[in-house]
This record gives sequence, structure tokens and C-alpha cells, in this order.
Amino acid sequence: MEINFAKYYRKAGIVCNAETISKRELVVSQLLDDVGKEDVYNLVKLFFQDKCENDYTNYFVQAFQQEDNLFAEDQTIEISVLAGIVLLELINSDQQEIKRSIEIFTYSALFIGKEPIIREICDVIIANLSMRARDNYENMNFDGQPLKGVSVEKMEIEDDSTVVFDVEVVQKINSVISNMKTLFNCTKKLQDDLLQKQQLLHEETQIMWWLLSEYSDDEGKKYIDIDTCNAAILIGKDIAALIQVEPGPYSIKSVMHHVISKFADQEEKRFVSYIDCCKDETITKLLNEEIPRTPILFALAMKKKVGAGNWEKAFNDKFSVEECNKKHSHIEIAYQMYLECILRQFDK
Amino acid sequence: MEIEEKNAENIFEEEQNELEVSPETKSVFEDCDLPLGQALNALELYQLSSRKAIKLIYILGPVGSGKTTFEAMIYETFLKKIDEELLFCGSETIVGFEKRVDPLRIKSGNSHAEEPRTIEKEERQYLHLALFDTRIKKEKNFIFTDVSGEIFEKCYKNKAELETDMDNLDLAEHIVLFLDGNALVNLEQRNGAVIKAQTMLSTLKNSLLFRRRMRVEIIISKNDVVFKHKDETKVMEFIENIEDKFRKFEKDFDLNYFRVEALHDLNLKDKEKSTHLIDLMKFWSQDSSTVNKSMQKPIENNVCLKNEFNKFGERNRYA
Repeated sequence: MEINFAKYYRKAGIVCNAETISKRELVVSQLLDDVGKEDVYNLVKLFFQDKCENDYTNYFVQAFQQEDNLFAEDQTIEISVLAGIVLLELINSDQQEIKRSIEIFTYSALFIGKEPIIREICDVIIANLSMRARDNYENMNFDGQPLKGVSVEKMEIEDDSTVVFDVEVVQKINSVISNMKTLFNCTKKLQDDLLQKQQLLHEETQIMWWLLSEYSDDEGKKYIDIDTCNAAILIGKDIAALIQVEPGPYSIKSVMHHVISKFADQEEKRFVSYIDCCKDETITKLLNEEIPRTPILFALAMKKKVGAGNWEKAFNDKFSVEECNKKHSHIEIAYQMYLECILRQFDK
Repeated sequence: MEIEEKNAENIFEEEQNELEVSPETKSVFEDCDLPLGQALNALELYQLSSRKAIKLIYILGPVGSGKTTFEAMIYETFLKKIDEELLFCGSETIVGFEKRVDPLRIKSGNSHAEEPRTIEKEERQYLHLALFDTRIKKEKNFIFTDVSGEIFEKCYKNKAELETDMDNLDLAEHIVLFLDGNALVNLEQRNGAVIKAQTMLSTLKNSLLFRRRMRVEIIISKNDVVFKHKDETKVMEFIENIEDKFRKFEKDFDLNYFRVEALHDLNLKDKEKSTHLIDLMKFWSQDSSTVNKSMQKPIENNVCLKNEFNKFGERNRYA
């Protein structure tokens, strides 16, 4: 592990010694071995000092109690820091699904107004989302590169009926098989690479056409002719549906802004206004009967279930905030909706 | 009437039953790890800081400059008066505070209000005060250090000693540097007092504990003594211009200056220049960090973008 525990402890204002830190480091390295998407959701909640699901807090605390029996559930500041450190370690791993979940759940927590103990960890996670989006397009190049790793000459076997099937011949055959495997892997890698580039190009084209038309298929109208609150939600949803390679383009916010900046009404609205104006038919097409965990989709699902104006209590209970009174700009809502749809799309 | 009497008897019986402690319960209480209310040691401070966000106020100054009196009187302020903006909402070191306040009280039997010297090797040196700030509706947990004057004398000019004996100084949200009012009105002692404070800041700046723009409050204690010399021009000129003596530190530290009359806080002698302890607490209660609430952090600019679609994002970045 490369993360400096002492640095984050000091940032959080926790006064502790080297012995305590080394105990924590040991447990964190053990926790990293077996983390699923469910765990990521709860780790983000712990980081933001929120209530976890499925008794995850107990599991987390007990893991640390194995090494330090004085560690307790009420050490909420330290638990938050440790959860943040685990998230930081995971964001540096190779697991794309885990990274995606961390980024979007963290962004969602900030969206509803949660404050982390250590802002720096949040910044790293959010920056990682931007960097992954940027790199997908930045790493696209079409320079013709030769297939590496296999020499075709080595694969030839002489056709000679006098050859005896002995050890030497078997070795040659094995060598050919190995070369074919290498060739297959190279070809597959090339194919995957080409496929991703095609997907990115297709995605870019789709977004450009969408940008040109500025049209909502659900409403059958241009976004500019729809109620602005509804339009913001639809923009996020529609553009997410065009994404082929997650997390989508680095410039997606600027793309949305290009459309939203033409709205006559640019005033920030209360969160409840955005949710209440969304039609039930649109919500049904998007969600069916599921109840998502992210704020906008959850609010939409609840709104469809219990009606406009009645879903707020369920929302406040789920996210432990008074979010419904908070104001957002259209771009904030559109981008958050976009992220939540991306998470749903690519987690299926 | 009869019924009421009967009920009254039953109530008393119930109370008595509740007061009985069974042997099993007694042993549970003996095993209970409740705080004793003494000043905290390092382990207890860690346990508190891992549960609650703390504001560490590091109080430094030479022997007899009024540090312990200052802390004791902050606690006493909340005993004497309720402030509308800052409400007392608890302390895990009430006994620690009481021990420090007691020598200042009439019932202590002392001929005058004076704190005993803080023990140099005292491990229990952290005092906790929880206040509710009604302006922002948040609880603030203050931790005051009670470091002896001898430790200050050892550390103010020795970087290594400073880093060893005050190893949590870099965690302090505020560092309070005391200038003894008694020394400042004395022509022979005043320069020495200021030089010590200046040297402390220099040593801190050169140490590993230094963080840029550390918040330092320079407090002139015993301002009631200073006020008695208000007609002595040379004395007052020196004190009025004390800020000039710390100008060179302003680029590295966020400096603020206060004068306090800890023992006379409720009835200040110098009403114009002295700061009430409660106002000082309000000053410390303000949040120091300005959290950047931007939800889109720009990527570091050391990468030169090649892709036009990515460049579209950079060129059209909205406010």
C-alpha cells in the first residue's frame, strides 16, 4: 500500500501514534482482498458518515477489532477516514466496475450535500472519473502497428512422411501451438482495441447528431420547448443512452451545457421541482419496478410509486438529508442524471 | 384522599426498589469504562478525536504568564453566564477544569487567586470543552492543551525539543502565544518577553511541525495590570505597537492579537481594549476551512490534449 495513513489521520485531526496506524494498515490490506459492488456502496456511505445497509458498519468495525480490541463503532471520524483510505486504494486498482461505482456513488453523495471529513480523497476520486473519460478518447490513435510477438517462419513443419513421431516432433508441434496461442491473443487484443475505437467513434457521432438536433424522443419536441426542469432530467437520460464506452466522454458536461444554455429560464430550482415534473411514463420506461440507490433515480421511482409531493419523506429517510429544499442548476441535475444512468447501464 | 395516600406509598416503594443495586449490577458498573473527568492523556485524546471532530487550541507561554488561569476562567465563564450564541454542551474533563478553577475560588482559602505551577511532565494535559454554536447550529469540540511553562522554555529556541515535546502542534487549529502583561509593563522584562515569543515563531517556522499560514493568536494576558499603567506613555506606546514586533512573521502565519483579563472577565477594567473570553471562543468557533464545493475538478493541465472532442470540453468549460 502506498497511501500515507498518518497524513490522512492528521488531515482529519485524529491524534494517534505509529503503533495504532500500523494496526490499521494491516486490516485495510486484508479488507482490499474481497470487495464487491455492495461493499463499495457501503464504504462510500461510511466515508460520508452515513448509515450503512446490511450491517456493513458492524462488519467493518469487527475487522479492525481483530487487531485492536479497543476499536469501537462510535469512532465515527476514524471509521470515515479508514473507509476513505480503502476507497482510495480501490480507485487505484484495475477493477473498472468497482472504480465506476466508487466514482458515481461519491459524486452522488456530494450532489445531495454530504460533506466528507477529508475533501482531498473526494477530489482524487472525482478527478479519476474525469481522467478515465479523457483517456478513452485521448488514447485513440490509428497508426498502423504490426502484429508483434509471433514469427510466421517458426510455425512451419516440413511435410515428410519419413519423419518419426518422436520427442523432437512433439516439441515442434507444441511450439507451433504456443505460437498460435500468442497469435490468437494478439489478434484478440487488436480486435478488442479496434472494437473500442469503433465504439468511441460511433458514440462521438451519435452525440454530435444529438447535439445538432437537441430533440427529446420521449416528448417529441426540442428540449427548448419542454419545461426546463423536465428537460434537464431528459437530457441526462438521453445522452447516457448514447454512451458506448463508460464513463463516457470527458466533454459531456460541456455538450449538455451547449444545449442547456439556450433555455430561457436559467434559474436554479429546488430538487423537488425537477422530480415532480417528470412524467410517470418516462420513469416507467427507465426503471420498471426497481428502486435504485442513487438520489435522482430513487426520487423518480418514489415519485412514481407514491405521487408528486409525497416522495420527499422517503427520500429524506433514505439519504439522511433535507435535500428536497436544496437548489440545483439545470446542468447539475442533467449531469447527475447522466452519471446515475451510466451506472445503471453498465452495471447490468 | 385514601387512594392518593396509597399511591404515594407505592411510588416511594418503587423508588426504593430501584435504588437497590444487585451484586451482578454492581460488578457491571465496576467494569464500566466511564471517563473519570480528568484532563485527557494522549491515548484518551486519540479516542476522543476518533469520535468527534476536535479543534485543538495549543496554548503556549512562559511560566506564570496566565495560561492555566485563562483555561480555567473560560470554563468558569460558562458556569457564571449563559451566552445566546455559544452554549455549553458538555466536557469530558470537568474534573480537570474544576481542579484548575478551584485555587482561584474564595472557598479554596488562598489569600489571592493564583494557579499552582503546571507540572512539567504532566501527561494529562488536554482539556475538553463542547460548545454548541447557535449561529451555525453545530457542536464544536475544543481541546485546550495545558503545557507547562518549563516545556515552553525548553522548546521555544530548540527545534528538536519542540518537535519531540509538542508533536501535535501541527494539528492545532489555533496556536495561542501568551505575552505576560506583568512582564510587558516592566521596562527590564518586556523586551525579553517579546523576544521569546518571536523566537518561538522562528523555531516553529523552521521545524517539521510548521504548516503555511498557521493561525496564531498573540494574547497579552493580565491586561488589567497593563491598564493600571495607562498613564505611563512609554509603557503604553510599547504595548500599542506590539504588532510591529511581529510584522515579519505575517507572511508565514495568520496572526491575530488580543488582550485579556482572565480573572476579571466579567467586569473588565479596560473595556475598550480587552476581549471577553466568550468573544475569543466565538472567534475560535468560526470554521477555518473554506471547502471548495465545485463538483467538477479540472484535470491537471500538464497533459496536452490531442483529441478534439476532449478539447471541446476544455474550450467550453462553463463557470
